[in-house]
Amino acid sequence: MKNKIKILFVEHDDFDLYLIKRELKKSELNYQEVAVENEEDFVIQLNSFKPDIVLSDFNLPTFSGLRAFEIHQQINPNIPFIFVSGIIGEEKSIELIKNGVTDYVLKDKLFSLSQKINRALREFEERESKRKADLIIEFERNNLKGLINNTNDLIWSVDTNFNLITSNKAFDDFLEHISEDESAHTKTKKTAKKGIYSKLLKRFRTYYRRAFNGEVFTEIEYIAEPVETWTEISFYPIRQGNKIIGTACYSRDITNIKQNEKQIKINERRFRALVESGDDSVVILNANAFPLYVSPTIEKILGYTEEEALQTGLFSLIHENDATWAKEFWKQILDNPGVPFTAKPCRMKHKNGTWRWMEGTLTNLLHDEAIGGIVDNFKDVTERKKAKDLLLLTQFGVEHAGDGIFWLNKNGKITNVNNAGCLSLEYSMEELLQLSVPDIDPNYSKDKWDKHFIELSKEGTLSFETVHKTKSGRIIPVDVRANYVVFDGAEYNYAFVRDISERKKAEDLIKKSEAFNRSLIDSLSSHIAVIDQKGFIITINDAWRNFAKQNTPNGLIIADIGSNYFDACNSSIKLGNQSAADVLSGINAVMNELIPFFYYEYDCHSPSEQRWFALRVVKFKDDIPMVIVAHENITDLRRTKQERDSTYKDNIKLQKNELELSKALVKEKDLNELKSRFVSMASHEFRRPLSTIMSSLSLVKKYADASDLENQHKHIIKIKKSINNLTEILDDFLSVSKLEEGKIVNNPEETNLKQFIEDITNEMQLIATNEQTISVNYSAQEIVSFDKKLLQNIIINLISNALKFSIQKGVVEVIVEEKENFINISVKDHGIGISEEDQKHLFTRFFRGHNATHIQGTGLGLNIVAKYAELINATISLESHLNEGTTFCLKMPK
Amino acid sequence: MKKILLIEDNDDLRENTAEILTLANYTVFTADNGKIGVEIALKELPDIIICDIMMPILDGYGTLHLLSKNPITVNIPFIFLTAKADQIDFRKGMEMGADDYITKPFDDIQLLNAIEVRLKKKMKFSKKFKASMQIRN
Repeated sequence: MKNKIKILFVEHDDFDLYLIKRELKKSELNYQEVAVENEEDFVIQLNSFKPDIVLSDFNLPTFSGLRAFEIHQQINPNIPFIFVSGIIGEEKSIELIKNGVTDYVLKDKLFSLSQKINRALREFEERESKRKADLIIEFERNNLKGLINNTNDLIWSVDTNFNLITSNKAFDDFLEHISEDESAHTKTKKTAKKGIYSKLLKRFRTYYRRAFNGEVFTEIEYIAEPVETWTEISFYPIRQGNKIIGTACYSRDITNIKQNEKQIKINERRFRALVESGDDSVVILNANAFPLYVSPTIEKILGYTEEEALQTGLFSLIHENDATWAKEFWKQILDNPGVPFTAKPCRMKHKNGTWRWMEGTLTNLLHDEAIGGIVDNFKDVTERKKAKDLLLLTQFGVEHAGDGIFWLNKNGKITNVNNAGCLSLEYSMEELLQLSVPDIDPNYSKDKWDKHFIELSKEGTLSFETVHKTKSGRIIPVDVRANYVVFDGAEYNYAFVRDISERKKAEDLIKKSEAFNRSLIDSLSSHIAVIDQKGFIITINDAWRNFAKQNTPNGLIIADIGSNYFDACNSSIKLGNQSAADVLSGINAVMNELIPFFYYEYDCHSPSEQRWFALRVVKFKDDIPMVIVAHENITDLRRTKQERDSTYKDNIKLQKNELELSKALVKEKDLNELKSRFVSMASHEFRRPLSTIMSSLSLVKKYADASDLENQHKHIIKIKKSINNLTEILDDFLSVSKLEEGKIVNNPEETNLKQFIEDITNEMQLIATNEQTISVNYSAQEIVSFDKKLLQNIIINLISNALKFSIQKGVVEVIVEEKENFINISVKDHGIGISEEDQKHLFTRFFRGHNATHIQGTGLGLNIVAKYAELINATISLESHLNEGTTFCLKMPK
Repeated sequence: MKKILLIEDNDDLRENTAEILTLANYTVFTADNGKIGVEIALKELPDIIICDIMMPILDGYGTLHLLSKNPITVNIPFIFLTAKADQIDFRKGMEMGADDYITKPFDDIQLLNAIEVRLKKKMKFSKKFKASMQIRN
């Protein structure tokens, strides 16, 4: 045992107590004890010590065992109570046990005490746990009972003899409730209740039997009268071991559920009927316009089955021309939940590939749990749209027709009129609807109208011309097409009226122009006839007629209108007239449109004079199978032409001379200008070397007198140098004039350009002052084809310029580079430079830079360079800044 | 010895002319442009100046203009020796106050005569001037 057993002794004899304790110790019972010998202590110890067991003597001096047991029974009856006594009779002990004492032990048989204590305690424990379990069972039973009794469902159980075993409150109430109704007929409530139960039993007997056979099942009972009631009844067999002893029954009223279900079914059926019959189709779409539901009518409308439709997005069906607004429309729908939008008709693709016009109303019910989509209710409006369009078109046509359209009733009253009708008569529509035919047509009196209407009713349609009077009193000729129409029981004249004043005018104009044309062709001197396909003459002009009269019968020009021109030609051919054959074939060629135009000159000499004629044949325009034949007397023309031909040649010569003269004049002018410029240049440039020569000569003479040979020699060299200078100037001038005359030609030959350039620079270095150097930077192919003389001239000129304008010192760089298909030769100096203004005129003959007037030069050098560059197909460009230097670049093709 | 200032940009001609003048017993100062010419004139105060027209930096016209503005040099006889032979150029030179105008190419005698005449005139003038000054005094 885990805990110490608490033992309460009721004993007054210490010796006895000692013996008992000794006995207990022997049995190795683990315990603690309290001993009392009077009532007062006993009560106290029972409550405070809370013993597990009480061992009591029977007889005590101030207390008694029975009294202790009495108290014990009151306070704690469950705790084992054992008497330990010297004497207890058999009868007495039986009585005590009956009264609830657990056991008794005689003092002389103490050896059994511990055994009995243990048993008593064990029994106590068992009893105690049983009691607790019972309490729990009791609690649960009550709980369950509460639950069962508090439900509205009926719960009961029946044994195999069909006797009601248990029932809940609801079941009892149910029986009570019905039996109250029944009790009106039967005598007492109780009998009524029994009656009801037996009724129930009758109904459920088969169910009970099924349950007794072990089946668990649920049945639904329907009662139509007096109120529609559905009941769901479940049966659960009750088993005891393997044996079924009854059944538990559970019944629930499901009338409301059933009724709701029924209503839902009805609603759905109605809805389906609505959706599935009719021409509309309903689709529920998700936010991406894919269908969640489609009504079967979609097959009727678009040809797709429901399954096909469910896999097709809305936008994949919409025509591309409608897609843009449809997408915006869709967005609008998404943005406005719950609001129905009606879309304008849009084209959707039918399964058979055609486009159908659909009109739909869409409502965004994405937020609606029951729908969760966008409901699109649409229908095919193709036919309607076509009809509508046609109607609109017709209406538009009528309204905008050029012809006036009038509805006139039998009395001639205007009942309807279109816009054109109003405009032509200058009335407003309201005004016209007040008027009758006589008001607008002066030709029709009331009587005449009546006759007209009778005639129209017989004929059906009538076409005639009449006049209309406008509001302003203007009379306009009109063409009327009247139709007799019966509409809605009334007779009408439905009339189209066309203003033909323009046509009338045109007709007049045609008449006038015919007369005009007639007089025009009659006034011509050419002989003109119009011939039809078969050769008959349709018409002729006066000239033809007169000529024919004077010259009959002469071959190609015959008189009568109506006679055959081809016959005339053929008879002329027979007479040996070759021209007639040419003329006939020419006319036929034009007639058959083989050639657009036929021109033919022939002679037709009369006995008195020589005559030439020219024939022109032209086809009528606009596919009229006729030709115009015109003969013209060109005798005079021929004569003058011959005369003119002879003078023409002289004229040509004269013109040539004139041209040459003017060319010569221009050249002369150029030369003259050149000359005057040369004179001006020469006056400056020749004078310098001449002055040097002159002064040197006088000095030579002086030194000769003094026999100073050295100085003489010096001056002779100076003279030579000056003369060379003069020669250079002269050469420049000659170059220019040679260029002018075109005597210099490009004569390229393959040469080593590098060597060539170096030769030149070496030579030029001699001319340079001591402080000037010429450097060459060559980075191009060496063998190039060019004209040596021309290029030499160009480069010498450029280098000498560079030296001249570099003021005594500095480097002149000659750079040869290769770029693409060109060789660039640059000559760069660091001299005085050339102003931008001067750069423009730099290559002009005799031009001198403004900062270079003091520097010797003819102004011809760069002009020559430019001309030479042109000759060798090169271009020359320059870059220069004042006081910084100048670079000339010659871009020469390889 | 009379002092002559020769202003001429062409080296050969300047050398030759200077040589002729030196041989004719003048002291010659040379300048290769007008600017240097004016500087030398102010420094040396020559008796006569012979000057080209077309020159770099400062041409003959500019030189004459500067010298005639300065009271020290205003009375020095000034002769143009130029390639500008047109009548217009001649008139222009004379109107600016030149004492003579010789065109290139020139004869040495012609030049020497011209110089001599100018120097004599100047001498006379200065004697007269001195005399008149004395009378006044």
